Amino acid sequence: MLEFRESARSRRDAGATETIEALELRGTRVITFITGWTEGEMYARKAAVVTLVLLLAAVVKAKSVPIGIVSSCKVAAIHGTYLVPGTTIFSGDTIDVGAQGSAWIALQGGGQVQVLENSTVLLTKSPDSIQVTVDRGQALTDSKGVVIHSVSPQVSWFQVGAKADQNKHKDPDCEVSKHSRRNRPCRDDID
Amino acid sequence: MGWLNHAVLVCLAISVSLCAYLAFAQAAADRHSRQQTPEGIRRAIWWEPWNPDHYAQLARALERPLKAGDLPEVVRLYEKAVQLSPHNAEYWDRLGQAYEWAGRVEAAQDAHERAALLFPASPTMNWTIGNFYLREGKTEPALHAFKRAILGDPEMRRPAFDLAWRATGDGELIVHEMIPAQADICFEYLNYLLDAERLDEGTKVWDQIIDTGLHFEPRQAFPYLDALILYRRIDQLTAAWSALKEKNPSMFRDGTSHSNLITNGDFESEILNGGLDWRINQEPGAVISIDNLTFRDGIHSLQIRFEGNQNLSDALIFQYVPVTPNTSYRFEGYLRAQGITTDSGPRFQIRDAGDPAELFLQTDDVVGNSSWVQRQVDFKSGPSTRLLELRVARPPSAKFDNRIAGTVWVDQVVMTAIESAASTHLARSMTHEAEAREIVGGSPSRK
Repeated sequence: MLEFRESARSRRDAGATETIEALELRGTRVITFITGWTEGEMYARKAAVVTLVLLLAAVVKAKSVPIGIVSSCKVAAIHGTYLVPGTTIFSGDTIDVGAQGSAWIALQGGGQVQVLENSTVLLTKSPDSIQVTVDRGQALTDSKGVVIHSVSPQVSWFQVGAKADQNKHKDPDCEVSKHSRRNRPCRDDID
Repeated sequence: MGWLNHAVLVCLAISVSLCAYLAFAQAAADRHSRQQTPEGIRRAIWWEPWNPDHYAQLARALERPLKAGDLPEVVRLYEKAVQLSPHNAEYWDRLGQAYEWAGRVEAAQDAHERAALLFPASPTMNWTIGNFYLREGKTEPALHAFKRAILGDPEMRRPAFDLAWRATGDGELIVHEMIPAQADICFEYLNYLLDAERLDEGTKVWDQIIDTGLHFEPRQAFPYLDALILYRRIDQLTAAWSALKEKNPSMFRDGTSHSNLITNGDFESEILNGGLDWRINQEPGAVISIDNLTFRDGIHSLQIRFEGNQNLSDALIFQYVPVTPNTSYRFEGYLRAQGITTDSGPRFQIRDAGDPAELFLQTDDVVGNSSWVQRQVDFKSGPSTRLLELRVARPPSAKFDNRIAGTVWVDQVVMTAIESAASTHLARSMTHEAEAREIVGGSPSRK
C-alpha cells in the first residue's frame, strides 16, 4: 500500500522561520516546500500540507476501495481469474460471466447486483453511488444506490424493484441445503 | 408389582410416542426444508425449532437476494443458529458476514475470528476472514489468512493471488507475507505473474525459488523460461537454465563437451520438450522417438519415422540456443537415412529465433539410404542475434509424389563458438551481414 509521509523541519534565522516541508512516498521525497514566514502562516501552511497529504493518500487508496462481496457465482471470472464466493470486489474491477453462469455481488451498504450469463460489467464507486457499466450482456440490481448504464446499445440492464421475481434469476447451483450440495460453485462447497 | 408394570408401560408408551413425534417432526421438517423457499423453511423451523440448520438455511434463503428489510432477521437467524450450535464454524462465519452487512464491524470481526478459531485450517474460513480483513484495511492479517487458505485448497490459489494484487499491488509484500515456501505454490504464483505480464515480479519469485533451494521438476520452470524467450531476456534465460541444470544434474547428462551450446545434442538424456532442451513438434505423419539400437555415439540417437501420408512442411524437432551477436560459430550434426522418399529430405536449419530474415541457413538434406553423414556449417551471428533456433526440418516438396516416408536418425549435434586463429580468419572473411557458408555438401541460404 502506498503511504505518503509528511516530514518537516524548521530553522530560525534573524527572526524569520524557514520551514522545509515535504511529502515522502516510501522514503522518497516527492514534493518539497521551502519558505520563510511568520509562525501563524507556518501553521496555516502546515494544515494545508496535511490536507494535501490526505487528499493524495485518498487518491492513491481509491484504487482499492472495496465496494462489495461476491455472494454466489458460477462460470464467472474477475480480470481473467475464476471467481470464488466471498471475493471482495474493489472499485474498478471487471467481472465476466460466461454461458450458463451468473454472479451475485452484495454491495457494501446494502443492495445487490446480479450479473447474468454472457455478460461483462465494470464496477466503480463514485461519491454518491456505485456505477455498473455493462460492456455486454445484462445486469440487474434492486438497489437505489446503484446506477447501471451500458456502453453499447446492444446490451440491456434492469433496475428491478424489491418485488422482482427472485426465483426467475435464482442460481439453482448456488442454492445450498444439506440435501442439494453441488461440486463447488458456492462458498458453501469450498471446504 | 402391578403398579410397577403399569409405570413401565406408561413410560414405554411415552417414549414410543416421543420417538414417533420426533421422527414425524423430522420428516415433516425435511419435507418443508426441501422446498428451499423461506415459507417452507419457516415451516421446517416450526416442526424442528431445535435444529440450527433450518435457521441458517432460512438466513441463506433471505440473503439471495438480500433486501435491506430482511437484514435484521438474517442476523437474528444466524445468532439463533450459533446459539444452538456454538461449535459450528460455518454459522459463525455467516454471522460475521451478516454483522458486516449490518455495519457491526467489531461484532463481525469477533464472529469471523471465532469461526477461524473453531476451524483454523479451513480454506473457506480463512478466505472469508482474509477478505474481511482486506475490506477493513488490515492487509497483513489478510495475507496471512490467504496463505492458510491456499495451503489448504489449491483451487484458492489463483483467486488469492489475484485478490492480493488487486488489493495491495505490492509484489514484495505478497511474496513475503502470503506465499509459503512450497515449490508448487511458488510456481503457480510465478505462472500467475507471467499470465498477468508481470515478468519482473516473476523473476524475483524465480530468484527466491532458486535461493531457497526448493526442490522442483525442471518442467515446472518451463513457463518462466518461455516467458524469458518471448520477451527476449536472453541473459536471464541463460542464467535460469544454468540454475536449472545445477539443481538437476542427473537430468542433464550431456556427453559432449562443455563448449557445446546444444543441450542434449547426443540424445543420451530424456528430451524435456521445453526450456533450452529439444522441443518436439508433433505433426501427423511423423513419429519421433529415442532409438537405442541405432546410434553414432553413446547408446542413443533420435529417430524420426515418416509414415508416408503427409507432405510435411514444418520443423519436426527444434531447440533454442542463446548466442552472442557478431560471433562466429561452427555447427556439426550427423544424419542417417533409410528409405527416405520424395525430393525433399530432412535437414538441419539454423535461424534467428526473433527475426529469421536476420539469419537463416540450412544444410543439405538426406534422401534414400545413407550411413551416418556429417553436416557442418560455419556462420556468424547477426549484430542483434541473441537467440537461435536449431531445427531438424523437412521443407515441403512441390512434386506430385510429395508424401514423405522412411526413417532418419540424428546424433552428435554440436555447436561451438569458433575461437581459433583459423576460425577468426574465417569469421573475418564473412560479411557483417551474417553470411553463411556451408562447408560440407550444403548451400548457403538466406532469406
